[in-house]
Amino acid sequence: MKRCLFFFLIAISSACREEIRVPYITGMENKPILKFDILLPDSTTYFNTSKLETDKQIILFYYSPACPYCRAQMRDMVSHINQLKNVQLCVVTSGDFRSMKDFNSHFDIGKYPKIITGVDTGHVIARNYRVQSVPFTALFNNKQQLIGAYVGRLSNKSMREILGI
Amino acid sequence: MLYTALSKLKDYSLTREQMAMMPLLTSVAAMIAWLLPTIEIIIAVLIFLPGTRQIGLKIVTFLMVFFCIYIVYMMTYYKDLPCSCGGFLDELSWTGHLIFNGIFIILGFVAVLINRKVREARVSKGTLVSN
Repeated sequence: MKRCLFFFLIAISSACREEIRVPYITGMENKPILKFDILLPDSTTYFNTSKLETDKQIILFYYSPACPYCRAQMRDMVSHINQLKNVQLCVVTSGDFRSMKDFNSHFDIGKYPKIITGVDTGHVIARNYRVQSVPFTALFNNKQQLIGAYVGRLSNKSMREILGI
Repeated sequence: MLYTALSKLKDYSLTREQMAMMPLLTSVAAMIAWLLPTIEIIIAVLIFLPGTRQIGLKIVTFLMVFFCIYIVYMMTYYKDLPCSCGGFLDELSWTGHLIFNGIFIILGFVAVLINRKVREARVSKGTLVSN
C-alpha cells in the first residue's frame, strides 16, 4: 500500500506544474502600441493599429501557427471570448499567410468579427518587442500603453487579472 | 506511463491542440486527448497489480508495436510532425522516438516472458493458484 501511494504521489507531483507568470522586458513598457500594418485574411486589406479604438484595452497575441502552446492559449481565449468582449483582441503572426488562414479556420475565428487577425508582414512585433519565442502576449491599458508583456502561455484568467477585468 | 497520462490530462487543452496538429487525428483530437491518457492509466494499474500484470504487459507491448507502426507511417508521409509527449520525451526527435519505442518493445517482450516464468514458478511452488 505504501509503495502504491509513493508511486502515485511521484507521478502526480511530476505531472503538475503551475503556470509561471513572469513579465517579459520589452523596453516598450508604458509606451503606446506601435503603429503597424496587419495583412487581413482577405489577403488584400491591411489594418493599421492606429485604427484601434482609443478607449479600450488591447490584447496583442503574437503566435506561430505550428506552436501547440499558442494554439492552446487561442483555444482558451476563444472558449472565454465573452469575458473579453470589452477588450480589443489582435491575433497576429509572422508566419505564412496560408498557415494563418488554417489557424483561423481551426478556431473558427471568422465567427468573431471583433477579433483582428492577420499577418505582421513587416515583422514589427518581433523586432520591436524583442520577441524570441512564442506565444507572446502584450497587454495594453485603455490609454493604449503597454502594461505587461509575457512569453509563454498565458491563461485567460491571468490576462483578465492583469487587465483588471 | 502514469506520468505521461497525468501530464496529458493535467493540460487537456494543450494535449487536444497537440493531437489536432497530427494529420490523422485532427477530427478526433478532442476525444483522443482524454481517451489515450485514460487507456494509459488503465494499463498502468493492470501492470501494477500482480493478478493482471501479464495482460497489462501484453497490452502495453502491443500498443508500443502499434505506436511504432504509426510513427513509421507519419515519418514516411508527413513532414514537420509535432510531439505531444510529456517530460524528456518531448525533446526526442521522431527517429529518437522510434529507437526509444523499439527498446521498450523488446523490454515488453522480455517482461512478458519473465513474468510468465515467475508465475509458473509460483504456481509450481503452490504460492499462486493457476488460472
